[in-house]
Amino acid sequence: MSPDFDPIEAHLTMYMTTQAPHAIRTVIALVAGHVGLSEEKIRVIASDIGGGFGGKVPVYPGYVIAIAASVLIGKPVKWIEDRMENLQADSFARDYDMTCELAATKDGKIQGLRIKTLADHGYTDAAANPSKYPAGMFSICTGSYDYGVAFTEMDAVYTNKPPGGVAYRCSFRVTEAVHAIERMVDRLALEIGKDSAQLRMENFIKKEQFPYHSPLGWEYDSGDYGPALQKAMDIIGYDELRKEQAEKRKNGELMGIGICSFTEVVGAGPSKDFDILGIKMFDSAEIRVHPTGKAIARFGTKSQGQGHETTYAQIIAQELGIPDEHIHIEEGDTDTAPYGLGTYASRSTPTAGAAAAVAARKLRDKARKIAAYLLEVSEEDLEWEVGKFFVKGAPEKSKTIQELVFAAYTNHPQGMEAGFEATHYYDPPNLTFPFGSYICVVDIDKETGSIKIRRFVAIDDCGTIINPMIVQGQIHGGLTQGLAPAMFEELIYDEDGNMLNGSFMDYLVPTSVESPKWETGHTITPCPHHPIGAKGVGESPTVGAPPAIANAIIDALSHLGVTHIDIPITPLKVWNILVEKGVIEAV
Amino acid sequence: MIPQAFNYEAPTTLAGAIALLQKYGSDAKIMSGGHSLIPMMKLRLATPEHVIDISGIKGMEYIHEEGGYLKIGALTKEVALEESKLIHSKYPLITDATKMIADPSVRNLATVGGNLAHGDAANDHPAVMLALRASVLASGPNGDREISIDDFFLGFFTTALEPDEILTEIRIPIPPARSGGAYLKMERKVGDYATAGVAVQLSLDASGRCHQIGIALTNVSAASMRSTRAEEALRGQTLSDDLIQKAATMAAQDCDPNADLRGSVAYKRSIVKTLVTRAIHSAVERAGA
Amino acid sequence: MANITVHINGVAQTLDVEPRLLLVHLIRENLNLTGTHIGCDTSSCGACTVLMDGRSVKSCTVYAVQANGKEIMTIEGLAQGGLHPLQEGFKEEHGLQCGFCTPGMIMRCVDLLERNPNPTEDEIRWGISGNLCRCTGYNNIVKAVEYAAKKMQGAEVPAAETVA
Repeated sequence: MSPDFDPIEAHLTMYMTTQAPHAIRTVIALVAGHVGLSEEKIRVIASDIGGGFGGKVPVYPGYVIAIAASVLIGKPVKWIEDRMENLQADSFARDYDMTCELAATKDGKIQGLRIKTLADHGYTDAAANPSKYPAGMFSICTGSYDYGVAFTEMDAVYTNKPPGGVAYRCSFRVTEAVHAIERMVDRLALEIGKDSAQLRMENFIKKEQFPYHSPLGWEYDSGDYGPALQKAMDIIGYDELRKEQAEKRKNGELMGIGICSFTEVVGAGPSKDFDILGIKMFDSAEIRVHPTGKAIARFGTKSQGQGHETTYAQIIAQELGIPDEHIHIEEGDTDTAPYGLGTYASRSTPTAGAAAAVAARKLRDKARKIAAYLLEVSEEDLEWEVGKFFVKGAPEKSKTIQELVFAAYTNHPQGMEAGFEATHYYDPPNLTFPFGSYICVVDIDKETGSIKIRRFVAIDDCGTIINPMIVQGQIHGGLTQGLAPAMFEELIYDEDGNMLNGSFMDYLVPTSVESPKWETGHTITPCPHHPIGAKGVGESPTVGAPPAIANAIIDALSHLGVTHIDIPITPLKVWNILVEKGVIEAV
Repeated sequence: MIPQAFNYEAPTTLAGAIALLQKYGSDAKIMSGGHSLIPMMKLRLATPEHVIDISGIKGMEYIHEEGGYLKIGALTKEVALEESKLIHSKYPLITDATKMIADPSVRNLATVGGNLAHGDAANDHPAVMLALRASVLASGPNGDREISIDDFFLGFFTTALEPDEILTEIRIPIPPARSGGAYLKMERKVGDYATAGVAVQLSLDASGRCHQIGIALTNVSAASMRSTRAEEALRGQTLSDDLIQKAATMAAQDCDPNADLRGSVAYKRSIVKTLVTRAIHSAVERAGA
Repeated sequence: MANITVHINGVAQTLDVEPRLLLVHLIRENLNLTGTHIGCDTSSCGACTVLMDGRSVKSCTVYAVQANGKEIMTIEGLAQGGLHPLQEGFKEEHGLQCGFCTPGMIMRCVDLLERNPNPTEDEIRWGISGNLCRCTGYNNIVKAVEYAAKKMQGAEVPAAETVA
């Protein structure tokens, strides 16, 4: 990041890779306003920032030092963090030690859940959680299943590690919650000898139970879990795979099938419950349509490659009828964009995307008034089809949106405000609850412990899909990022607290070879409270992939008496188990 | 990451490079592709005062058979080995190994000579050349001397090269008919250094018995090593599954790995055993048994 | 200081540089070509990949002096009168998201397709294994390279298939 303090104007411009430019500006003003960094004189500019995934939400010590340096010397300063510094000193995602208990009847009806967690947060808590949720949304841990009782508690401990608790492409601790319940369901299936898909089907919250009130206090907006799992089973050929697995076991070969049927909680959030440092977690859209019918729209969010430029333009195009290529989308400059809390927690489409739709509808209402004036009919006599208003029963009498916009600047009704602009700050009535079912098939080389993901099918339901290609791209990427903690990535410390793998030579980010060819599909269960029914998708795959992979690997070893392995599950861990279980002998 | 400052020399002749080595002595480092040296310099694990870049010396990039040997110029890039039809058809062991060294962009610059002269037991070519029973040519102020590969790797990052010598050529005896080889490597992810690697090269006689065999290991000892006991157990024998298992066990017993992030000692020994077994089977198959 | 001449994107640049200056710093800092990124510093990620005499190299692990007299091409030099087929492929097949790995990934793939004009999926995956991507999960990068391969062989490439 590069702060550039102008001592004459007392103005600070910060070029930085942040996911939350407005929040950063306010935080700096709150902390340093009394020494002259007044909020109107702070401008944060986040252009193309690279990926974020949660790590670019917080304010890091380096930022503060760089700002102070620029203020002191009155010159631009650049703070660069190299990858080794990033791995060793930046905040980490999580170090959760979870003890889980699941109560169920003998035939597999889940009755209750209890989870106790010890959470390492390093030397200070780095979680940019909503104020009322110090443990994030971990209480989504009851998952996709219907039962009446649950309890969870968490002890956070401070250690001498860097600050802990930033997101890793996950909406405030949902990854950990989903891992807990999805592992427990598999554990139950193993315990009672029931097929894990069948057990899930029998315990799913049913479609007609939505909106569903979970035992830990959430109101799930909508869901239809059975069809998603069934679709994944059909695509992957579940029954055949189970038969193949039984045959392979007879020959001593190790093959596993793992399922994860997750429920996410994203789109933070409703102002009654969600704030960061007191700032409510709304988000915003401002649309300005120029006289010739071309628009610029600005948002409080900040894309890091999620394709906001495409998705937001499509929403506005759909609502207003202006072709999306004529809608310029802008984010990331606090001097020009309306205030918003930024992009993380899969919140952009649920909040700013909703704001875009509502702002566009405000403009459509204004267009209707202008159309009525120009066509000399009452507003009620007009009908909208994308791109124009026409008179009911006389479709040849119509005005296109471009004509109406032009009139807003050239020939608007007396008493009407000129121009064609609208801003909306969208306060979502509830969170959104995307879901999905993933199935993973692995083959294990029993001599080396090597794990090969043979297939991985992901069926996601993120409500209304605005751009299928972008949604699919988000899922592909999230799956690889979920594969990473399941099998590869961890920060390893020695007993003295020294990090042992502080570079990409030993912090193992998956390549194109480790990453399987992902197979994706979807079901669509619209969000009932979002203006266009969308729920958000970016984090679902990162949340859903680790338990599917872990369950598959554990399933491959379950007949040996293996019930759990902590992630990341490496060939070394598998080999150790195979030796311990007497499947192979060490030299 | 910025390396410590150094003096850069780019001689265009071998004699010029050797003269610079004589001038600067042990304060100098030879660089060819730079893909072992530069990372160490960026981490400041290496801080040479003089870097002598020999990549501009002409005539040291070649792969050809001559006088009973496959001769590889020390500046031959990994990518050239990877793409060589001669290597692919007669020395599949080299092709196997080359394809698993780092990644394609690294292989575009990294050289086979550098991979050997670095003396790192984690590198892949040392085991390959040990198994192939190669020798290397060292050029110094007094001319060339041929060093058997068995005498080349002396210890941890230490080779038989004198401070004023440059490795210039690798010589591999052309394998007889009915020969085959294979290189297998266990790695945590693609491009990683080996958790353990195994190079096997063998020849079968008319009756199908093992006539010659070289077995060498990557990254399981301070210096790259052969498993002579395993070789001897197989030489002259019909390669039954049982015997191969026994030899593989010997290799696993004879190596001396360290426990580290890649695994425990027991794990690495076990990987060696498995990979030796599999590499021998693959080599036999390629020999046309 | 060493005096070097490097031909960058077809233009000869003569500069005095410290021997320890890395090629990536020459490109980014001295020549302001910031399309080439630094992602890891340990030649693990490939974000800094450029072409040197037509072959992909990781410019964080090359000294600028090693590029003396050589032709360097960065992402800025790739498009000639319209997007290069690889750039077009990445655009059409959604082969990039945040874009951080993209310049290096594309320069790597230029070399890949030069040597292997019609690669299989497996060959593409191994061919880009030294270039990390955190966003795409690689599926669409593979498709983008396949698109470019077809296009460079003169085939008409249909618009990206509709996602099911």
